Order: sequence, then C-alpha cells, then structure tokens
Amino acid sequence: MLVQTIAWITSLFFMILVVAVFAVVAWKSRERKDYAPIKKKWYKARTFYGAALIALMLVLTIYTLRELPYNQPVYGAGNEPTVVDVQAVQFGWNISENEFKVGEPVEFHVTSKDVNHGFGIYDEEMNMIAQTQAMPDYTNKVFITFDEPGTYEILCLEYCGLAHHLMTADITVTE
Amino acid sequence: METVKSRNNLVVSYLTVGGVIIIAMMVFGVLMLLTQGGVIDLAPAAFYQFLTIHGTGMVGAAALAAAGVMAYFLSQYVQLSQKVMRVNLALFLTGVVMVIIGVFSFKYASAWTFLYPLPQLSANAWGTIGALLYLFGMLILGAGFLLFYLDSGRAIMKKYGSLAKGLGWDVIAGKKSEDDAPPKAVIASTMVTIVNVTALTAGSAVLIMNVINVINPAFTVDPLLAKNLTYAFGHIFANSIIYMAVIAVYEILPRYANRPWKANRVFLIAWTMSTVFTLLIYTHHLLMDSVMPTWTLILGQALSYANGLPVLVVTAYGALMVVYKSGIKWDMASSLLYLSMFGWVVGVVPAIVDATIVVNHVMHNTKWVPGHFHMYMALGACTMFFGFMYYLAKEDSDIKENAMNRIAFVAFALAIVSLSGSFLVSGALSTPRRWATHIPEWMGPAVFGAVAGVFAMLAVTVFVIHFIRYINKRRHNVHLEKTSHDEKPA
Amino acid sequence: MGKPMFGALLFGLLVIPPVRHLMESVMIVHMLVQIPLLILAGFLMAGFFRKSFQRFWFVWNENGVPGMLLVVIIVLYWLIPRTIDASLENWSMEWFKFISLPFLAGIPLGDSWGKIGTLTKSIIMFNLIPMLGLMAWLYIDAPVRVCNNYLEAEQKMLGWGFLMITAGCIIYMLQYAFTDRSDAVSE
Repeated sequence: MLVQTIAWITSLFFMILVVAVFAVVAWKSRERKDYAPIKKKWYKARTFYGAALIALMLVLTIYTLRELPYNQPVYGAGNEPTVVDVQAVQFGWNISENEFKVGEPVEFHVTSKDVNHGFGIYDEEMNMIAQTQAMPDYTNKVFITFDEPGTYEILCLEYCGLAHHLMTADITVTE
Repeated sequence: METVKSRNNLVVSYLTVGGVIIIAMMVFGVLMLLTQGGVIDLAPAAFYQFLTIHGTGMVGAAALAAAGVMAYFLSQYVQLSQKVMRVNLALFLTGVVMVIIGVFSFKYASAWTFLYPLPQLSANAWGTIGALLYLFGMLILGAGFLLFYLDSGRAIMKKYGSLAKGLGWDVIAGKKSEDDAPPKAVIASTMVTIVNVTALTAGSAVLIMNVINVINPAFTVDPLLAKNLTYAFGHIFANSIIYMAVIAVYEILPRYANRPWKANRVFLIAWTMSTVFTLLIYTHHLLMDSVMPTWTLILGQALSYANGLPVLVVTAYGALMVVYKSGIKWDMASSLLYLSMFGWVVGVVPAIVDATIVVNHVMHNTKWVPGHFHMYMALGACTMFFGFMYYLAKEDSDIKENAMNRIAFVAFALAIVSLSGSFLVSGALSTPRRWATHIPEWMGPAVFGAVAGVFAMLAVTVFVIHFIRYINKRRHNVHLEKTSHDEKPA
Repeated sequence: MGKPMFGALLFGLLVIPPVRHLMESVMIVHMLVQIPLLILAGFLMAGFFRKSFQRFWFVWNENGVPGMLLVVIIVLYWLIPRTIDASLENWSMEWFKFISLPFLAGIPLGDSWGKIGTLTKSIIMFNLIPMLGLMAWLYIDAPVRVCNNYLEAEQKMLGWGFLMITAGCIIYMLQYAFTDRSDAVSE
C-alpha cells in the first residue's frame, strides 16, 4: 500500500474521532451539571488518556524511525549501486544517466547550481515515491530501487522561480 | 487619561487591520486555486506574486490580530506601553506597503519563505529594487513586532519578576502554591514573548544576510545555515499566532460556561513544554535535507509528536471539560471559540502524520502541507480572534447578532473544512504545492477548494462587517466599564 | 582613586605608542580589545564630565536617547572594516578613533545608560545580537580580504571572536530574563 494511502487513512480515522468528540461534548453542553464531580471524573480519565497517548506516540515514533530514507542500504557483493549525479538549474535537470533496470540499486546524488529546488520522483500514476532537496553547495542523496518498469517523472518540489512548474524531466526504467 | 476605550482603541485597530487584510488575502488564495483548477488563466508571474503576497499577508495579518488579543488580555494584568503598540502598528503598515510595492510594482515573487539565494537569483524575473523593498519591508514589520514582544517581556518581568515566574516555574518547582500561579493570559504571553523574540532575532539576521547578498552577490551565505535561520524564524513566528490567539479561549469560554479554568501545575508544565518544543521543532521543515545531522531530524519528528501533547492533553481537553454539561450559552463568540479548539486539534492530526520522516519523504511540499496548516491557522487561530471580535462587540456595545452572522458561522466552518479537506486530498494524490499549473488529475480538488474559499471569504466578510459596525456603536460610558473588565474570570 | 581617574589612566595607557602598536598588530585585539577598552575608558570618565557640565547633559541628553544614538552611530562606524584600515594608514583617522571612541561613545554611554529605560536597553541588546552575529558571518565567510592590513586568517579569527561575543550576549540576556528582577525593571 502507498505511504500516502496509509497517511490518509490514519489521518482520516483520527480526524473523524476528533469530530465525534467535539460533537458529543457540544451536544452534551445543553445539560447543566455541577462542575466538581465532572472535574474529578475527567481529571482522572485524563491521566489514562494522557498515558495512552504518550504510549501510542512512543510506539509510532519507534516504529517509524526504524528505517529512514537517509540511510544507505546495505548492498550485496556484486550488486554495486549506480551513482547518478543530478544537478538542478533554473529551470531544468541535468541528470547524468536516465535509463535504469528494474531491481538495479540507484543512488541519486542531488545538488543545485543556483537556488533551492526539490527533487521529487513520480511513478506512472503520478504518485510521488521519493524526494530530497536540491541545494547549492550541498549534495543530498536518494537511495532507490525501481520495482516496476515504465517512465518516471522528476518534478521540482521547492519553489524556485517563475518557471518552477515547468521544471520536469523523465527517466526510463526497463525490465 | 487612560480609559478602557482608549486602551481598546489599539486592540480594535489591530483586529480591524488584521481582518481586512485577511479578506483581501483570501481573494488571492481563491484566484490561485482557480488558476490551478484550470478555471481561469493567470500568468505564472502573477500566480507566484499572489503566492508571495498571500503567505506574507496572511501570516502578518493573523499575527497582528492575535497580538491584539494578547494585548487586550495581558494588559488586564500588566502595564503594556500604548506607545509601543502604536509604533508596532505604524511599522506594520509601513512594512505592508513596502511588501505590496515590492511584489506588485517590482514583480518580486520569492514566496514568503524568501529562501536564500532566491531573492537575488530570480532568473531575471525581478530586480534588486523589488527584492530590497520586500526584504526591508519584512525587516520593518519584524522590528515592530520585536518591539511589541520586548515590551510585553519588560511588563511581565516588572510585575512577576522574571520570565521564569511568568511561566510559573516557581509553582512547578513547588515553591509557590497552585493558587498563586500566574493567570493563563500571562503564561501564554510569556511563552510567546520568549519564542518570538528568538524568532525575530534569527529572522532579522537572515533578512540582512539576504539584503547584503542582493546588494553584493560576492557575499554569499551558507545555504543550509540560511535555511535553518529562515525556518526557525518562519515556523516559530507563524506558530506563535495560535498561542497568542488561544488566550481568547482561556479567558472567554469559562465566562460563558460559568466555570473556573485556572492554571494548575499540569497546565504550567504543558506551556513550558510548548515553549521548548516550539523553539526546536522547526527542523521538521528540513526533513528532506539529508545533509542535516540525522539526530536533528529525528528530534524534529519526535518533538513534533510531543508538541501535540500540550494541546491534546491540556488545552483542548480543558476546553472540552469546561463546556461538557455546562449549559453554556451558545452565541457567535462562544461558538467560534469552541470551533477554534476543534480546528486546532483536527489540524494537529495531519501535521503529526506529515512530521513522520517516512511520510514526509513522499508528502513534503505537496498540498498536504497547506491542508493541515489551513486547519489550525484558519479554523484554529483565525477563528479564535474572530470569536474574540464578537465577544468584544457584545461586551462593549449593544450591537445585535443577526441571523446573517449565524449563517456565516455555519458557512465558514463547512467552507474551511472543505478547503482544508481538498488540500489534503490533493496532497494524498501527490499534487505539489506552489505550482502555477496542474495536470488534469489534480484539478478537481483545486476547483472544489476554490468554491469553498469563496464561501469562507464571504463568511469572514460578514464577521468583519459586524466588527466594523460595532466600532460605530461603541459605548462612551467607559469609566463604569473599567471595573467589570478588571475582574478576574470567575 | 575614583572611577574617572581609572578611566583617564586606562586611556593614557592605551595611547602609549608601544601598547598601541602591539594591540593594532593583531586584528582581533584591535577590534575586540582596543576598541572596547577605549569605550570603557570614556565610560569610566563619564562621572567627571557629568559633574563638570551638568547643564549641558541635562539640556542635550535628558532621557538618554540622543546620547545612545550617538554611541550607536560611532560604534557602527568603527565596525566597518574600511575605517579600521584607514586608522592604520592615516594619522588623522587614528586620531579620530582615539577621540571618538572614548569621548563620543564612552562618555555619552556613561551618561545615558542610567537614564534609558529597560525597554530601550533591551532594544539595543536585541539589535546588537543579530548585528554581532552578522559581523561574525561577514568576517568568517567573506570571499575577500576586507582589510588590507590584516591577513584572511586573522579575519576569520576575528569572526569567531564576534561569534563568541554574540553567544555571550545571548547567555547574558537569558540569565537576565530568567532570574528575578522585580525591582530593577523600569519603563
């Protein structure tokens, strides 16, 4: 499943939960009860709620931090990555190599000649699959192995001037 | 002689200026969405000028209005300088005029993030004058706000002894009892003073660096240092808006519900956490800069999660408790303030999701980002001071809230939810943000968002007109009012 | 022996040619020791001049703001690399440095500092912090030698010196704001 889909479903779930809580409290606001017992009960509930929330966040933090896109994958012997130099310029991409094979590990070493740009890789359905910033004086890396053949598109993802939206390029992945 | 009316004059001016600018900026927002949706055909140069003015104007105007809320409540506890507030307003207007001239007369369009070296390297789209007008405009605007926060810091220290005591650290440490904790308006103001003085100092440094680079390109800046300073400034300053505006919720909601909401130890700890986290989490804007030390980015994710805790466990939870089975009277003020808490909390969800590095890897700089910040900025922060505007109008005049206002409330809530939702859908579809044109697959949500934006704009116009009508009806027997204003919330 | 005497002595010491040459031979000492000491000398002497010209100070510097403005202008002037260069090459500039820093910056500072309020002081501090940080950046990162009389390595060292002072100012402001001063804060 796409990361975007997971993010969307997770967000939707919790946002609906928030809507429900606010709706219920608004609905219940029409009753008038003494505050002291409410306070006592719900302060107690808060201890559990707070603890549960912290636990949930901790689990999610640890789970999502196991594998970071910054880390170079461990390559097996004889499976050296193809290093591709990418230089962003206003308003285009200089890519040293743009044809790859499925299963071939690729490292994009991304920099910029002028201003900040963003190097975003889109698949054929126009879903973003990876990105990094293209900065002058610095080189950011994207580690990727394409699983599907097809034409992938590079889009600029950091506002860089008036032709920002025209800054695209194609790469081809074959079987 | 200082009267309630003269004291409130400035607050009213802040809110009016803020409100009017926000309506104007919504027009630009709608035009951008219509362009992206393919409905109108705007030249890319114009689109990016609108982008620049929309971002700058919204953050500036919302900050000004929120500062008005903060000043209104803070000055019930400490002595703020009227002169400083006047100077801040004057500098704000000067800065705004310079930014407008720079953008529209000199075609400056770096987006409000003015990421070095874009102000200087525009590929000949704009020249030195435009860049300098914008950068100096921002500097002047920033100088005004810096003055405002230095004065609030001075006033808090004069009354409470130190900023540490303004945050109630002596209560946290157990040296003082919870009953002697500073009022919530003071705690929040102290937090905002600390983070914004820091933000504005970083901001002025990076603005001047850009100015020097624009004048003499031989002087270069480390682009990563500039990026850090820019986001430290931008993130903190934009974030502080909601921490100023939320004072309205703290002060007004308990009065309506007729229930006490006092600062206790947990509350104080939450605000100290917010202070620290707000200063540190700007690195979540740099998650896609793998040249940053990895620990700063991991910290960026972890602290962004943790920064949700104070609002989720303390502020929003407290507001819900105050309202729950309280028989609260719902009018425009209380409804908007309740809605604003909803907006903040619901916006936290996609924000936290996006602060996750593996998610950010495919969602950074997509429209997911405006999706979540339109929730807690428009539905959260702005709604707080719209609520305050209705409260002030009711408190200070005999103006009636007609049915039009209630319709506007419903329209506003639905419109902003739809607008933010459309942005989130776009983000899930990988639509990049800040693009003048969209491919057909991305156009649908943009058009939907534009329509929602029109309704939101009409609704806000109703809010602001109500407020302007109140200005003409303000009471004159203000001396009698003073006592009721100075009463602490029950 | 009072403060003004100390100030005069310090000034006398700084003027002695061998001391002067020694200090000016190293960029960081020139900028971050000699210049601040000249201001300090004037600051210490301020008491004497305040007593002697009471009316003058009252008329021209009642609230301390004109005095502080003069201080800021003089200090800004001596932060420009070109003026430092000129003071080494040109006798009249050297004279002007030794007159302007103690008498047009130090003494007005001594007269004004007690008169200005907390707000003005903090405005000055929070302008100083980014300005010193910028000086640090300028000297560390400058693409060229900004002074003809000093090497680039010295220039970099000066930059780091500015950065240390910036850090010092930030730490000072932090302890100022977070320790109790209910009595000291004024308008």
